[in-house]
Amino acid sequence: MNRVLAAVFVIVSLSATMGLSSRHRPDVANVPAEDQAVRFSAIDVFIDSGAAPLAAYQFELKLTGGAKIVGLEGGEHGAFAEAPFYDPAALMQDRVIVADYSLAPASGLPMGRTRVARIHVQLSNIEMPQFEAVIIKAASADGGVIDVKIVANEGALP
Amino acid sequence: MSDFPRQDELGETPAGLGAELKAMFGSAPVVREDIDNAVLSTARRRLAHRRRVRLAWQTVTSTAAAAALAMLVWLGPWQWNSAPAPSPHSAMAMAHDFNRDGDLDIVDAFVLARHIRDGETPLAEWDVNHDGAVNSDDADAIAMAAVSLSPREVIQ
Repeated sequence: MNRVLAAVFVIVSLSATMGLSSRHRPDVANVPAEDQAVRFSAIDVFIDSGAAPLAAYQFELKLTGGAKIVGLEGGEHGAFAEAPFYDPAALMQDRVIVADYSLAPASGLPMGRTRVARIHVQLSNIEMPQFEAVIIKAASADGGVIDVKIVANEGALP
Repeated sequence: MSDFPRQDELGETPAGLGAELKAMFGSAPVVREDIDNAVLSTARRRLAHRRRVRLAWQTVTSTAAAAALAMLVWLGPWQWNSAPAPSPHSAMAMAHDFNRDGDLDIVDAFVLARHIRDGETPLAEWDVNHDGAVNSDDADAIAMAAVSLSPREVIQ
């Protein structure tokens, strides 16, 4: 019985230690400047709606490997040129949900492949950003949900 | 359980056996009483020490178990609470799921924006931000809720 109690104590103590350490966030401010190789890059997100006019989209972008989101801007088409909707809490984080819609008539909406957003990222001690974009929903001009393809590439800084 | 019979099961010693054994090994040595007492005293001290060690170990393990239990209770709400946080999407979906697909997303904002643009008669649920007016701000409120990273941020 005593050995069982002792084993429980050891396991719980180790679990608690791991749990507490997993909540620890590195204090970037205390990292010596020479250890912080920081550069900035941009990730272009393209949506291909095929023959359907793209009136609304929503996607999620996840970064890995130490990249952080520092800003967002709109797409290349006039219908989505303004900055999209996103949660400001995503800044300096590694995950963002981006969405936008346009009330332009179908003739004024992009079709085929179009860049809908550009996401600026900060890279600390990594050469290439690693990321994944997942489409959540897209709709055509009549409000109907459509199937689209999403592609994200590291783009050139303007 | 020993296979050998106990002394009281042996019965009488065969005649002459006792004398022969005594002749072979001699008489049992006589132990002086002071030596006997010293051995007994030492044995008692060692037994008492063992009891103290056992009691101390029980105290340590009981305290450790209590500490582990307390830690479980203390960490429980953060570490092991697997119940999902209420989603703004599910909370808002019933009232503001304008395209009735079960999700609260940008398409609902788009559908509401189209209703407003087309001048349709406003419904009560269109006033998403409860400011008494139905306009593009209400569609924007849904869009912002759709992109929110905070699962507890719910539009009332």
